Amino acid sequence: MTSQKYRHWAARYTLWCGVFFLVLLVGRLFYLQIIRHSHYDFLADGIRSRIITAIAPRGMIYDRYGVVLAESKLVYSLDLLPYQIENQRYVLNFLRRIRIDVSAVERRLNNKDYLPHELLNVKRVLEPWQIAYIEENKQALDGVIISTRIVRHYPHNNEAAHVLGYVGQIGSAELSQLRNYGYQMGDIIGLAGVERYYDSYLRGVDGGQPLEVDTYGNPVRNLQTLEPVPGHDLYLTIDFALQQAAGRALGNRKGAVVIVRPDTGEVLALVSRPDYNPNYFTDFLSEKEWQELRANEHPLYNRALGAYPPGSTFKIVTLLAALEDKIDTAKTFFCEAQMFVNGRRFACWLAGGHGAQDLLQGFVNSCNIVFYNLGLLLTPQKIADAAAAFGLGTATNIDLPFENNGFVPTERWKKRRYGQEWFPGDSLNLAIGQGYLLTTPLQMALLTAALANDQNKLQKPYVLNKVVSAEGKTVVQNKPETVNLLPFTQPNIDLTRRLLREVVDDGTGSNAKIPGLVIRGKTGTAENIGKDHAWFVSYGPYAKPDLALAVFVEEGGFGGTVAARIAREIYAWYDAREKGDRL
Amino acid sequence: MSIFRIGYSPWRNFNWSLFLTGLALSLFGILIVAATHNPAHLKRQLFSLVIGLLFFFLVTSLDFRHFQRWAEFLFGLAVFLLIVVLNVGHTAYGAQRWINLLGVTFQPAELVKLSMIFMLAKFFEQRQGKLDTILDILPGFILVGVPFFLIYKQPDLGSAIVLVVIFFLMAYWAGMKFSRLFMLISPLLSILALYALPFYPLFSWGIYLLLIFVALWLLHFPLLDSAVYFGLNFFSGLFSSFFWYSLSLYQRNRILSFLNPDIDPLARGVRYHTVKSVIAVGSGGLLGKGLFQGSLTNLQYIPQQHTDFIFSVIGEEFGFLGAVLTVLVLFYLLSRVYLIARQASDDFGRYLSVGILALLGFQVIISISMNIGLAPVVGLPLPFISYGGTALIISWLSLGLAQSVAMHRRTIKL
Repeated sequence: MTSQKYRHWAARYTLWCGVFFLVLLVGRLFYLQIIRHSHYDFLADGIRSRIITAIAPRGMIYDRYGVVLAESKLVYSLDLLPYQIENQRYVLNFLRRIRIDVSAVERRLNNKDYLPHELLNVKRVLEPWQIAYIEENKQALDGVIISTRIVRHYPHNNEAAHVLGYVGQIGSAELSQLRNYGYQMGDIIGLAGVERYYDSYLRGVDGGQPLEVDTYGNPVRNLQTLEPVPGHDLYLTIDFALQQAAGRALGNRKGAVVIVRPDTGEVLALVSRPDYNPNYFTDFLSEKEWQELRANEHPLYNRALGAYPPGSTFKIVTLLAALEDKIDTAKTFFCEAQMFVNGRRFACWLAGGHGAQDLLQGFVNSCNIVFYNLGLLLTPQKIADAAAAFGLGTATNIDLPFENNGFVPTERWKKRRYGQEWFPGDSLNLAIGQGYLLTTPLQMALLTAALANDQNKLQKPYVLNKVVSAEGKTVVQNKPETVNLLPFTQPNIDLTRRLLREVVDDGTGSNAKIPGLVIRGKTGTAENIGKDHAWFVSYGPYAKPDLALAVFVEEGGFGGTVAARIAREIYAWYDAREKGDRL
Repeated sequence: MSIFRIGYSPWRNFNWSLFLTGLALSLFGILIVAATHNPAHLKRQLFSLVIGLLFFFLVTSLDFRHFQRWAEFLFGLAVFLLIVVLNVGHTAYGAQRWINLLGVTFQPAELVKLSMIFMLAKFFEQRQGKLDTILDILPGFILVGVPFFLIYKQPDLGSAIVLVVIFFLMAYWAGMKFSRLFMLISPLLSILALYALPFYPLFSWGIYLLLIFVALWLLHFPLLDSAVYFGLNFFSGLFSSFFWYSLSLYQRNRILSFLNPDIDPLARGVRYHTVKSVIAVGSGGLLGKGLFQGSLTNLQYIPQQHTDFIFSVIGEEFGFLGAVLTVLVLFYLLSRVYLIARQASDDFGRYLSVGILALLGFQVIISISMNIGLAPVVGLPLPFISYGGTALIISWLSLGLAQSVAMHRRTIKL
């Protein structure tokens, strides 16, 4: 019987297979435990204490002209090696006396919440006088270890904090994601800004002497020393002087200023207020610093990438949608400060009303009644399509973390979300940039930039210019990228550009006007539950514009006043520098 | 002419060596669990052993053939529990494996292994050695495929592979040709050829497909079968990125770092377990550092040293002699199960014992191998020794079944 025969072979091969594995396992054990025993015994001794890692210096960050924005600094830090401590109370009291906060480490020591070989970090940055005290009393302080450490330093403190971000110890959420990429507990990683986005370039590769100290922490022998590979340097597109000027112009107001180069999408400045000092995160935060961070309203939040109703700045989009829909530009509407749709009252911002306004006047004077009527004449989809052409409602994919997508409502979305029809009132709100609509200051800056460049292209924004290795080799060179060409006819775009200039010359944006300079823009005052948000999007200051910028002041009131003046100050500063350069 | 002698006490056939070896290993395991310094583990392991022994004697005293009737029910229940555990299971170490029933947590994956062995034994018995075409083995393949998929989703790669190995060995004993078995698992190699080899992936895949083609040509399978085998290889390669990336990141990295240790030279990431475990074993030397004296064990340097990495504790504390003795005793136990399979009086009992042999044998070999750096870390306990209630109870249950096959064989006298 064949199956009988087969069974015989199956049994025999199974036996051989078993013998093979038995020999393999025993052979491997013989190799590990007899032949290589002394090697592994030595490694085990080394393991018994700890691995000394040489932390790779983090790469520098420069602006587009080489101004240092972030660097590495050598500091002395304090660690405890628990099993060497003989008199814990004495050691902790001593440290308290030299004003070092030991409460966290005391808790860990008392709860035995550490591995036997682990170094417990007490303070990351020691003052020179603290080092002196410890060194003088070294004999009585077994287990107290002072070591050098490289920390991040931001020479300009708060300036450009939201672009740069800050670094800190890796959190458990990040760790679980990144563990397999060589990140480990206690690693310093970028937690915001480019520090976070380009962490893998900046951090380099830690080196170390994996197994070189004995049970007592004394070096035994240098086995294989892996030299740390320094991180790459980043050159940003940020123009630091312009960034500072924009920051000065915005002052202490809550809000954001985003400046991009119209033809490339390079971000020249990105300011968000309130801001913070990223240097605070170098050491454990002190009580005072912590209070300072908490007192302000969410200083870590990057408002330039946050979503807000764009208000009348959105009328640029509605206008283009109307022009594309061949709505007669001579058609006149009559503004008597309010209108009623389905029994609901919709108001214009000018209390007395604008009177008779055609489409073009309505835009220059930012008359709501004209745009309400456009909202009724256009389908919401047409406005949404025009908004999508400017990239609104989708992330710009800027190389910074935590970007908000913004939002453009549609009929289908409202049906799905609220189970409700799209009401004419929704169209009215959308047409003047209110209602469900949300955009980020960055998106609005790019919208303006798309109108500012002569190829009508919507650019992808970026803050990284290039990555340069420690040896000076350019590792990555970022290039401008066009997302979209505006799908509007050239005459309509030219008309819009002309109107934007009229807004500044004779319309609501006249606060931004500087004689001799060419500035085009649109104001916006977005209704808010509290005080209104002020907007001004613009480009200039020459016929061939260098800058496209969006100014957003949270609860800033009327856009034509506060926001336009901020823009004016930035253009004036820029022009002065350009002229100075030319002289 | 043959006379059936039925009716004498089956206990006369009680396989003492099987029982005593298992008991010795379990007690040794409890000693090692004690060495990993967790009193709670020790108590629970003792409790599990008592339950395991109760099951062992219960199963032993019954004729294993009775269980045939329950096979479908148990298998269905186990698969159901697997689906439940995927949705509501208790998560630990990043995988959903445990389920909580009346305050007792256990892993349905362990139950499914055993009930699948029953189903396969029944299936192969019915086939009577006729396993020549794809259609012949299709039902068996489904029996493995469904729980495989569910366990793979947990994710528990180790247990999923155990199912495949069980199928492989049982099918082989049931009369399936090796060439066919190889072709059945070859799609996995196709994926590996593309992703895990440190060479040019498309090139190595091309060579691999060529080899498969030539092999199929030489084997003279029916045309349909050849086409299906080749198609499986081709498409699993084509969609390999889908399969490969359906593994979680840590699983991929474990496989990659095993094949290419340079990925993590300082052993701080994925190779951490393996490197530390190998150092612990290697530092044990000839005689070991003595019970409770293993310095790496005491410093708790190796994660999971009471479960998946328990062999490293044996290696460190008892040295080469202790480790080899443990390996020999485990293999002795396996050889008892093997003998029971050979001497079984009917096909069902034989296939059942072979399935149990595969279940225990694969876990023994892979668990030890990954402790000494011969296999990637896939997370399999060492039977009878590792801490883990469900695993210990299931090990004793399977031993009970093998014992039952040994005791209730029909003696035939000519």
